[in-house]
Amino acid sequence: MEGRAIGELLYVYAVVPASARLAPEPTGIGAAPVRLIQEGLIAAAVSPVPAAEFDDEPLNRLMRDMDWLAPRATAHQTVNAALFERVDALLPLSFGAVYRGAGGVRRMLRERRAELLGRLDAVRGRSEWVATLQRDAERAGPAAEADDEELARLNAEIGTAQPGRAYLLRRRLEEARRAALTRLDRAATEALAQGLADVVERTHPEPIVQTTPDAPLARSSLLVHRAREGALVERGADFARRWEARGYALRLTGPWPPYRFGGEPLERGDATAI
Amino acid sequence: MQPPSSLAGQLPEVEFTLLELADRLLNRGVVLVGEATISVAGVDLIYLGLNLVLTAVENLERSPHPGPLPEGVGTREGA
Repeated sequence: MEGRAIGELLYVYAVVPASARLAPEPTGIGAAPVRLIQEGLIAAAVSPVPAAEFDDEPLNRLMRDMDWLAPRATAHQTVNAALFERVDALLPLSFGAVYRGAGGVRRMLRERRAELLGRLDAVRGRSEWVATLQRDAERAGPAAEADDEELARLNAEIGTAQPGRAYLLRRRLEEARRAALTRLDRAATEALAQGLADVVERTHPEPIVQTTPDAPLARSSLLVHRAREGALVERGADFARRWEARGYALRLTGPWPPYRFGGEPLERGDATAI
Repeated sequence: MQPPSSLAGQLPEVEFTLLELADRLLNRGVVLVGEATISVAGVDLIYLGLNLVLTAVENLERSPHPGPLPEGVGTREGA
């Protein structure tokens, strides 16, 4: 391995325990074979990548080109998915970690040995899931209104009020509707957090990127013991059954390699917040 | 899109969107990238890149593609 050209660029997909075996070896970016570089108790899964694309400058430029990025990001995930099924602990790296030569990879593994071993322990036997809570306002609005006393009273008053007063009441009604919907949103979010609390080990709230009206209410990464994945999916289905009629839906994706939790500070974690 | 992994049929398969993939891979909760000999130059730039990429992916999914973004039925497709 060390005999390869000095300065060969190596793309690092993941860090795994040195005991990991790649058979059959996965295919990485550009169909290059993925190999392990071992250093003590840990190893990095790498494949060579062309400098014309992965050196500092071209990489930063090309990252913004979806047509370039999409197949390479998919290859990155494919390698991590394959590794994830073969090892008990995996630290998937973010896209774009490139080292110059095996020596650079070994040095990194040596210098960060204790931290990497700690991180591997923190995600061993666990997978990552993403829970996205969405609400359909068309259905949630009436649902929020259905059991709200103030709204019922306002509606009744509007029915019998003189036109001028009915106008004012309608404006108050709009406000009360928004408040009722916000309360129902909070109730749904709390119900979801409670429903998942005892199957989920750690939770990490994720930013909502969309600003459109159909943006999700909440989105979180979840760290789950692999033995509890079935329970997680069941809890998600329970939530969906109870909240579907009111316009709330949950999307649960996984099992992902622990992209998020692999990089989390080691002590943090909150098993209840969504 | 390639699912992250399968449980050999124990759990229903889920399709992942490009947006979800980009969200996992280009996130800030990154191990090592900042330390790499060569890497995307610095964490802030990665974050900036992420926003650009996500916007690009969203547009991609809104336009000609079937766009399997969550329409919000149940927990998992097929669950």
